[in-house]
Amino acid sequence: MTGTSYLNLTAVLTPEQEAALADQRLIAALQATDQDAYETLIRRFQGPVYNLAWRLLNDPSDASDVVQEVFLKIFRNVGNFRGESSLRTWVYRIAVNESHNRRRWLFRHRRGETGLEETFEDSDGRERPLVDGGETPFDFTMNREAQLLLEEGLSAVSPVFRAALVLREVDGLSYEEIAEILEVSIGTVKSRILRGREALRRYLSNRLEPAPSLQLLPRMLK
Amino acid sequence: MHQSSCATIRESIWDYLSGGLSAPVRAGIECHLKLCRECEIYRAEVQSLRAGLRHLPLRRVPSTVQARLFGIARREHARHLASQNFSTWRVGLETRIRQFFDNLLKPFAVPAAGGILTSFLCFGVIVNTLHLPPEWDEDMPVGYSTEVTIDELTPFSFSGRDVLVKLTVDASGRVTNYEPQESNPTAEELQEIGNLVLYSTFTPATRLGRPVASKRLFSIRHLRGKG
Repeated sequence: MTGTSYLNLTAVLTPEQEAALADQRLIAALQATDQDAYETLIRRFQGPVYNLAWRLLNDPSDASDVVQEVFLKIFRNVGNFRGESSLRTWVYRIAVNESHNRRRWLFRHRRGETGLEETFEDSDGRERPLVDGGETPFDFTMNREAQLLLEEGLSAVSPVFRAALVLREVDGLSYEEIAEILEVSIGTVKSRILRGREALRRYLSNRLEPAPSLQLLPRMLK
Repeated sequence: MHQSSCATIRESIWDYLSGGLSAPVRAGIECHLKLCRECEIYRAEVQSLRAGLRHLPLRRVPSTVQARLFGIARREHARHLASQNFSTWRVGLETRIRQFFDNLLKPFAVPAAGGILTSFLCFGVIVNTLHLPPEWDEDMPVGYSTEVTIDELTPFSFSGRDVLVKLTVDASGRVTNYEPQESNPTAEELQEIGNLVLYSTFTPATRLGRPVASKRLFSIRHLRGKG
């Protein structure tokens, strides 16, 4: 038979397909107990998970604990991962659930508690940054002020809306992915994001009064 | 501009800026933005806000946390490898089964203890009402003892003086012995006393409802009546 070959080895994959393929390889390697795959997974997701947990909990030490719990769960359950969702969605779902569990635990057990540990972080819970020579001190200060204000506004949003808002606007996930992570319908996700956005906008507008409009990051917009 | 139209446009501004809308919808929004200054200001606000959110700095994971994560990875890797070894897997399975059976009754422990305590409490409350008073009317008077009594005296007379006699009466009501208690009676008096008691009939004494042998003092007297 001299017909068409059904195996097109030269097919060009889209970036999404390449990412999905890389995810599948990583999962297969994890399920095959490949030591490098464990480390690859950590390097790839430690930052996003840590930042997500921080934004949902507003506390660096709690975020650190949550990251460890998340990766422990991933390693223990990766054998049961069936690939019904993407790896990122699965990891984010575990992170969101762990953060919610942590917040519930904190609400019950640590109200009014004051920490005594000295950390290597500034008063806002950030690691002391190295000075970047790429921007002037004025721009740095302005950008930092705006970022702090945004972070403050995010933390003022209700945790239920904040999770959806952060996943959408900070991490750039689609509505479908967020619905999968939060295990709610897409309509609920859209509603939560809408309410979260409005709450954030209202908070920032109140803080920036009497300026007529938000001008958070002038340098970035330019 | 119409108020509801502005509200609808503002709801879609975020998706408009993220490029998630179809071309006709985008064109409609752009057309509206050109005509409505307030919505254009709102768009600028949202754009600024979106940019700010997208450019929020990623915090670096602390080095201590990174070290712990790699430690967790190494430990879990070793654990997975160990679980693939049959003997280790068997020991782990045995441990899990043992733990399962050890923990099996835990969910019942508190309810069971509560049930037992409640039963004790209930029993303690109602125990006084369980006391049944004895019905003496229907029972035999077994608690009493009765003494020997005379049923019928003999027709033989006694001519001697008054005398006190101790009689021994057996369980069938027969006199087995008699002893005068005062002074020394004569032989005739003894004969008369013997005739008197031996030919009289007695009801034996009882104890706990049964006839028993017993002794009792009887006084023999002469009664003198006029007329």
